[in-house]
Amino acid sequence: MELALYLHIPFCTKKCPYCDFYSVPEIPDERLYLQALLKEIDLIKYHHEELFSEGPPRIKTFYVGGGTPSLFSPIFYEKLLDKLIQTLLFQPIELSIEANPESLTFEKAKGYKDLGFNRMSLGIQSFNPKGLEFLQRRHSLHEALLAIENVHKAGFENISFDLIYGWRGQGVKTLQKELQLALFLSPSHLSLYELTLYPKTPFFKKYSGLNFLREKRLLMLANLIENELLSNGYLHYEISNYAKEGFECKHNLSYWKVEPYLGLGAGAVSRISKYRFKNPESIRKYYEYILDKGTLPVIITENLNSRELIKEKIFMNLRLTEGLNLSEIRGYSFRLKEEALEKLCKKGLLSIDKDNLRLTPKGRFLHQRVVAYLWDNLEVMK
Amino acid sequence: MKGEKIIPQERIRNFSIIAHIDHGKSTLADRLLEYTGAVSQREMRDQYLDRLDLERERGITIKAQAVRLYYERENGEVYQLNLIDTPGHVDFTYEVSRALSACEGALLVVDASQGVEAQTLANVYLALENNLEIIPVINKIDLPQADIERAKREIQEIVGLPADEALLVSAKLGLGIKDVLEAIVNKIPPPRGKREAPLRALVFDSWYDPYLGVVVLLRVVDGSLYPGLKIKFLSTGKSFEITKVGVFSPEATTLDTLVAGEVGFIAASIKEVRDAKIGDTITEASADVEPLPGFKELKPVVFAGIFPVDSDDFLALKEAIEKLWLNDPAFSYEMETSSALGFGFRCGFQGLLHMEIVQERLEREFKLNLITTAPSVKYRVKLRKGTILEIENPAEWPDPGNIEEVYEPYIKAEIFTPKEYVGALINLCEEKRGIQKELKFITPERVVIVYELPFSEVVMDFYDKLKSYSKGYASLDYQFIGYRASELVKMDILINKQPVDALSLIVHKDKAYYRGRELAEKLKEVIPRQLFEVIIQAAIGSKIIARERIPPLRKDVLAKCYGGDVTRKKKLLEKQKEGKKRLKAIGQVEIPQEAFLAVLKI
Repeated sequence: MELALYLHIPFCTKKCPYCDFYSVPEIPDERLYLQALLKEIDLIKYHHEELFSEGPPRIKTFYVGGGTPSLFSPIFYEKLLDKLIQTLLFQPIELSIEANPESLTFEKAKGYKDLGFNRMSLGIQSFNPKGLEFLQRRHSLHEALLAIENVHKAGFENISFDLIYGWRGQGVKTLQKELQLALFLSPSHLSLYELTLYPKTPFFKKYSGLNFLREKRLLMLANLIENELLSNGYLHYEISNYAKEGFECKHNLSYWKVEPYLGLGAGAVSRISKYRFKNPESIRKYYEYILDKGTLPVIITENLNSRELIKEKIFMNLRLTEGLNLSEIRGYSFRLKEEALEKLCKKGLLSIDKDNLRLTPKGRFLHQRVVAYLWDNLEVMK
Repeated sequence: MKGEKIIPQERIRNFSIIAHIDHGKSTLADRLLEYTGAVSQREMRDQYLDRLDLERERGITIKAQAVRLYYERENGEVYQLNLIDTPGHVDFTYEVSRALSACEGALLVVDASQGVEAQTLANVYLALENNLEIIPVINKIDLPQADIERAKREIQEIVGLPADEALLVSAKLGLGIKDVLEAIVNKIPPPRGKREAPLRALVFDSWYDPYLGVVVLLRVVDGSLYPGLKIKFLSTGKSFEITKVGVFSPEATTLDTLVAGEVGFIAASIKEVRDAKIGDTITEASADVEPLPGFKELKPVVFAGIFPVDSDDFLALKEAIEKLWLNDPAFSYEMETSSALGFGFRCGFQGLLHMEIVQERLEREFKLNLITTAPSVKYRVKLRKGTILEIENPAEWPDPGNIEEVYEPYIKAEIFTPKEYVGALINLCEEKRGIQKELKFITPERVVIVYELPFSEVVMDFYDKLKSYSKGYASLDYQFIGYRASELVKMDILINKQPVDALSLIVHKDKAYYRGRELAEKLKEVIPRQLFEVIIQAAIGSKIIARERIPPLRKDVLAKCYGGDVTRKKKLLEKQKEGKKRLKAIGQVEIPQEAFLAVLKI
């Protein structure tokens, strides 16, 4: 079995006020977290053999995300990679690591590169000092540029920037300048996320319902991004992701294509065939299971039936520019009602080419609604 | 057990409390319970008698309830007092008349800061018709804005009761409670009726209890009831054997017997609420006696369609309506089919509040998700060929070419108000096509305004506006004065060119353009933007009189979705869809419940 492997590093120096990923603002105990992960890898190998009656899975991509993976030293990753090589068929063609500019020194970047990491995703978030201040980031524009230089010097050729747009005060001109700077630095990959207010985050309480998040303005900014990046040779391959040809993130593509993946660490999620597992979003509980009880800390499992699997395919595949293939749906004896597809096409939200379904640029902005509409028009084939 | 005491009939008092909403009836009842020791301070929760959740939330009493208290006077004599709770709102006249028929007296509670209200008057007259002894009680005397002299003057001049006998009470602070109990004993006559005569008991409430079966609340007029007795309901002729008799004091307490003059409950392994009809007479199974007078049946005056949001729930709705009707026969129902909303019921109500309460009870007690259409009155349409139709559903309006003349019901409205709001209220009545009949000062500060108004204008937002224009001080009472010819037309609402029958309404010709525009605008406000464009049109016949467009949504997309959060993000979308379950899909357009009531807001 081929799997994408994800490792979650749920630690940050401070929580960013817009973030709703699981991480804790704690000084991490690298040694303890490593000890738990090594044990988890053994347990997973055993569990995998039990559940699927086959040998260790082959790992085709590896992605370290967080939290802040760059808080951890290269030694931590070295021991971890050794364990993966010993235990699983660890043959990834892409090894990504996320880093924050303020915790990324040249030595660290070089260390990661020497271990075999070949893709670095930098949490720049904004190329404007006011943007960094609004987002309460802990690095300056200067530090961001230094970090980028360090990553280049360390030998990384596949570099991605994470940017957030839509912050208060960012007009078309400001965004244009930020994009110019980003393009000048010529990353192979760019993620551009619209500022989203997730419930329970400090930003949600602070900014909900405020005018600067109105639809018209965000659409204008999104269109600017699309125009700028396409005219500079980037492919818009997922709702929020752009890449130079061949530099699409292979690991993340697995999620959107609904291919199986395995997650390690506190809060990590796995989905293999119809099973979904989730480790507890609590480092204490994660340690308790793995280190004290010696069992896998799986707390939530889903057993997806074919309708749910197909709904997930529609949901995830349509985020991709390459879209959804109707033959996959038929493979499960389901189909989408013809008149619903026609209506979406007529309204300019969807395009169909034989079996291939794609959102148009207009439809992409309505991904949620179109998906909900398709879910409502999903029926069992007679 | 206290209940074992044998109390002679002359020491029984059955009474209710008549009060306007918010004048403190439930608080006074609480204090009476507390004072007589029926409820200890610890058990006391606010508004003890309001049993339905809905009642406590809205602060109003919907269903009548009965509680037995034992009051020991200073001379050691113990009296049995049965308090029968009544609703205060004008819509619940039917419930009030049920409660009053079980009593010999009533406390009339008047808020010292608000004075007498029109609705209270209506219930006082009902009590007087039932020959009840009325004891005026001025409550909330602790409030800084209390005006006891004014309240007394109004009791004397408006209600016509001797004001010097009015009791001064603060139920909130527990002041004057003993005086109230003494007045109940001294002024209200004991029940008549003979313990030795053949059994006759009046059913004034019944409900289903999962442990006891149907519980029947009754007033024993003659004879006695006890476990083992075989009884019969006169209207159905069905017989049952009593398994339990008891009272609420205020928790259910079983007794050996209930005798003439007393109020209490029985259980008799009755499985269906419909077998214990409210207003029915209970006798011994073998007896042959005259039934007691039941209740005057009230004709519904406001009509609306009730439909399940999910058409699969139609049977559940049918069952729920049938069950609820047995408990609240003041509403009527018949099946209705709407091309927009599917199968449902056309229901008649005593008023707007009654309509809201019925809808909420159906939703809450039977876990249904419902759409209620805008309320309508009953019109009379004379056709060219001479026949006269009674129409309470705009969808059934005949072709205008066949109509000779249309008549609508008129009411005479009496509005009591402090003098400073007279101007605003007159404007309101004029705006509602009213005809002024009288305007007079009843005290130097209070005015009564009498208007004749088309009832259709009143069932919309009249009452809300009356309250808001008078900062809550004005009150309204009305009575029907018959039908009058009127220039009425049917207005249709089209959504994406499709007429939505459930949104049609009858309007006065002179107001049609204005209403059409307002309604289209209001619908634009309440119908959320959707994936596709929505066009709203108002039309009279084939003529479009207003048009609004709801542009399609342009953006609804999640910035981030990776492997770790796909479950959460999918659930979010499911929840978003779930939230729309309260929306009714008509064609491809999702229309929220508010849209069907938007006509009320224009």
